[in-house]
Amino acid sequence: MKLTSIAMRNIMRNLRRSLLSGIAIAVSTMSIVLLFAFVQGMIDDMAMNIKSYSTGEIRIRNEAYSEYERYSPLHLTVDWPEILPILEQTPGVSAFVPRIQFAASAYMNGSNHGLMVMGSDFNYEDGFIDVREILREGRLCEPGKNETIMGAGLANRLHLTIGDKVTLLTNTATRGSNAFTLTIVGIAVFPVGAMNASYTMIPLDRAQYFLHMDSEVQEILVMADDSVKENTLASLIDQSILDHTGVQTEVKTWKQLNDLMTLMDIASYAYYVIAFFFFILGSTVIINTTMMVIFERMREIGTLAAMGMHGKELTRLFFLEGAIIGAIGAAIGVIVGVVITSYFGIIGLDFTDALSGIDMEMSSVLYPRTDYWRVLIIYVYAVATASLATLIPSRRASKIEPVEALRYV
Amino acid sequence: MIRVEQVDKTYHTGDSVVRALRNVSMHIPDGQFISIAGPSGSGKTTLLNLIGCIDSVDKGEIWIDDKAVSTLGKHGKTEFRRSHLGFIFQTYNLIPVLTAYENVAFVLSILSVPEEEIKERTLRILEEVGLKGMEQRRPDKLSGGQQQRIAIARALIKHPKIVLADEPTANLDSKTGKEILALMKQMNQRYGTTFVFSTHDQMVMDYAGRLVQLHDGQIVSDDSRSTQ
Repeated sequence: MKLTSIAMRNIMRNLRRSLLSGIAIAVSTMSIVLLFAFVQGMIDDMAMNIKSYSTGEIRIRNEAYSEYERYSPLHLTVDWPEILPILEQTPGVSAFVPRIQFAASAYMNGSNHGLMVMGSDFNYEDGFIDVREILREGRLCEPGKNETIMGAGLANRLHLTIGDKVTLLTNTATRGSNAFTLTIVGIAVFPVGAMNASYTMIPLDRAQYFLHMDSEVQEILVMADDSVKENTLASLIDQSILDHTGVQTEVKTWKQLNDLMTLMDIASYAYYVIAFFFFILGSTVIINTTMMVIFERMREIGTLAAMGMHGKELTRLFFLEGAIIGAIGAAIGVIVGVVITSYFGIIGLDFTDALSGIDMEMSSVLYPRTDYWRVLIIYVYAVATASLATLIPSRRASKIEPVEALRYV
Repeated sequence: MIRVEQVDKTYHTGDSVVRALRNVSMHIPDGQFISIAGPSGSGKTTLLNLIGCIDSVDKGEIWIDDKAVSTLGKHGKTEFRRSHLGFIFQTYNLIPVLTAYENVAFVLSILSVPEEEIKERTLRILEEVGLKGMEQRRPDKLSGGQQQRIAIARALIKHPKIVLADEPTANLDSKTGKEILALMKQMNQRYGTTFVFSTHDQMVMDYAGRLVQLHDGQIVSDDSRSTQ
């Protein structure tokens, strides 16, 4: 007669109570699966947005740019025609794109409206912004033409649509002012709410022309192959540019440039602590149930002890009951959590209203994401915590004197 | 041989002190069918618990054969109970989630007896106590008498030296009680196992080969007689 078999039957003995304990573990496990999936989805989304829209995996800028960044120093540039062949020949580079981002003002109906302009070579954007994917109406801009693809939120704010013209005023790289008129040929929905509300994209050559930057660009974003480490590639690019052009540039990885990602990584550890307390909370039900079971079965404990069962064996019997409930509850929690994660992983969670006006590289629609390893860790973590919690009252069974237990009514 | 030597046992319940046994001494030779009788609170169950190594003496000694069991620690007492003692309780105390077969077989499984032997011995003893065909029934599907038969089988399955029975017929009607006593007597004779049982039932006392009367924790009479 195996103890596991007896434990299973004891679980079925008071099914409603066992279900209650199992559900508590299942709910806490499911919550953790969802929390971790949500956090992972958020981290992945931010990482993707940072890489695609903001810095790439590696960003090349003029060495002095960062120091004067608050002034938007358009004269601190990098030489795109010189760097292009270097990047083409650098092993480990999978994609790169030249960009110029600058603030401009749209004068409309007697008032000025601030906005951001991103000048980019659309031929190189494939590894970064999937412009075709985010284009909701219209078409891409053509190089050499004063055309723009405007963020849907911005277009809505300015009451503009395809075919409308908008005149922008901005400072140039030569510290002068310039105004230029663009025709809206496309409306795009940027996944990042802040971009959607304030960005418009124009061809790189037009941006260079309006800003008097010749063939220079403000920054070049680079994506690395999976085979190479970003830090290693950044150092290689830095050295190659210096060797070929004699100009020192600032080459940094996206992690070096985004403190928020480092914070998110640290926060991930905090979530494990939160998870631990969640499981403890769920385990209190098991602790309570096991204590009740021990009191109810006091006479049985006395009988088993009289028959010669040692304290350790009695502990094991009650521990097994709790551990089995914990294992089944955690399994159900994980399954339900994965199903819910998969569902929202497809349809997404819409935070458009909540994130409106928040300047973070976070998409308005988040897709929770998890993986088998993470799920397995959560499952083991849940079962271990529940079992450990069960051990506390179970050990009580071994401390009970048989004579006391047999006298118990 | 059980030797109880000048045993004292006192219980403290709140402020009150109950002297359950006072200077009790007795010898029980192997194979005896002995009844410890007396009114409620006379110390019968306490004496049984002390002999059964589930309680500890305050003073005196208890020997079973050449072992001073009263001096054993918790682990030693458990080991001794596991190997040498069988118990029968007034309320049967069967494990409700186990079948009749499993309740009996469980005793051997904690002694790590091989599965085949467990099966053979369990089926045989259940047949001997008259429960053939009821092996797969759970306690709640059996009468009180049948449950007590399982308890007897459970106590005897490991061939213990001593079976301690605390008021084994108290919860049974007189006819079933008689049947149970007859069965216990039969097992006592077949296996030579010493049976020590407590009772305040005259019919049970009449069945005993030796009757020890307790009153206020002291032996007031001890006489051997011929039994039914």
